[in-house]
Amino acid sequence: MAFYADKDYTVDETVLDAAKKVMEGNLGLHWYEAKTERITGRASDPRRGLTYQDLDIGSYGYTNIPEDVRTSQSMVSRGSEKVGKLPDMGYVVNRKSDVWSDNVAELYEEDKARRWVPATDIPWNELHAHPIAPELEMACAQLYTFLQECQIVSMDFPSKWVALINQDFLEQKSWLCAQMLDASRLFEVFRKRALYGGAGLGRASVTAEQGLKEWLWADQFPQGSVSINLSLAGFLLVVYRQVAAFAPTKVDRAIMRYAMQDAGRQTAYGLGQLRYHLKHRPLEVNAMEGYLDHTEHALLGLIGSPELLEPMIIICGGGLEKAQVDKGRIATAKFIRLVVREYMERIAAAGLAGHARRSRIPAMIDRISASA
Amino acid sequence: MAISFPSTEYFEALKAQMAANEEKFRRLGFIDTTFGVSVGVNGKARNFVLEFEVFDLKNVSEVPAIDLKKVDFQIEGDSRVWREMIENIRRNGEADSAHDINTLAHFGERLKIVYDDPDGHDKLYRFMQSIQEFFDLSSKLEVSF
Repeated sequence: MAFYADKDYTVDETVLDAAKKVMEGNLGLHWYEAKTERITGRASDPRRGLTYQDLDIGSYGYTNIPEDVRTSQSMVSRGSEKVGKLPDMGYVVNRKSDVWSDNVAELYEEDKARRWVPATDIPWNELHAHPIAPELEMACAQLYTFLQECQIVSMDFPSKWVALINQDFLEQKSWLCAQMLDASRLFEVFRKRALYGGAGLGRASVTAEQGLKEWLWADQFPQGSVSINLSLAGFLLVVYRQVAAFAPTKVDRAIMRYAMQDAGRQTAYGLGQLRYHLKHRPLEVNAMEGYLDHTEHALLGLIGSPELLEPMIIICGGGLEKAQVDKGRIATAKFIRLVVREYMERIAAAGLAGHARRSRIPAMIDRISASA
Repeated sequence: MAISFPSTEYFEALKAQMAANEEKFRRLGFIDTTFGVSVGVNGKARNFVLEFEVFDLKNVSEVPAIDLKKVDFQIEGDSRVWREMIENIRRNGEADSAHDINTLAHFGERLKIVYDDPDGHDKLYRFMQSIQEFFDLSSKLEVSF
């Protein structure tokens, strides 16, 4: 046991007596006198319903959370009265600028409103009705194997941090939970697509997994968030758009269209978090640049993975004939350049305007895509 | 009577269709974005700003030029490409893989997505399903070019 409550309540007569008294009808009603604000939450738009943005009021709101949360270390819900010996949860992330993004409540509400269900929202029968060539199906199976590896990390990152982040950032913690659901849903749909098609799963990617592990185990949340929510999600967003554009079946197009919505929210948070972090902590610019210098090589591990590039070439070209492979190589070279261009755009927009000039990635990418 | 493209009337007709199909768009979830549509016609552009909120197209207006700082993103392209997309939608009931917004704009070779802030650009993808279904409502209109 890592923690024991301050007493064993089965042998605490005071607690048992108090409960007995209440059940006999002697209500103490001490909570009636809680020193908290009395507010009335109302939906600003009835069609949208009551949102967290509507409840951004006074001590219950998120706007006034201070940069350093010093007085709240228990699981108490923000705005309620704190009394007695509340446990210290040992939160290690207590600075707003380490986790916050101005769009976090909006993204959480949007995530729930735009939820979808792989089991029923994907026209799975289309795969029966319009089967594709075996080499295309094999390529799809490999691609979806690769994407599952990426989604495991997308699921693990918020899971790893959520219990370490101060409860006062409840909207952000809720958003992390929504991200876990998004990632598990994408993992589910990629796995189902691969296994439905009959080709089974393909081969794991060493270069992708080595890099993903390095990103996942970043020491601090802002650094890890840049890697997972901005670099990885930005990369995946372009993968989804690419596969949707060259989709061999209606099923693949439907999957990718939903996937790009989920990835788009993730990049919106990644960009918003980095932007908020650097705006409120300008002295962290150099540290973040240094982190990216050391770790963005993992992007090359993803982009350069044969377990991604080869199936993508086959899918984009439509098969394995030379002309098809040539067509696929050209489309994949454009994909690679698009991934890096958008990554650099987001990094610059977040506050690291000169990063593209110092990064090693563009030159490496030129070497790869020049071959096409 | 056929509705001319590009025109405010065309987008107003899609807006009416969106309202008539509210349940479908409600199921897709909130769509909160303002974006521009720019249609090149004989070397000039006709520009429209579409403001979506909750489940609806709240407002559409034709403007002389689109200020990228006031929209999330802009979809621009020659009228021939837009026409090809709309005719494809009319034929199939929805855009096929080669003619949806994502494919046409993916490499920026047929339609192009321009933006001031990547955060605005991401909104195209956050709301892609709703945006595509919005344009797919062209299948219910008679459109002239």
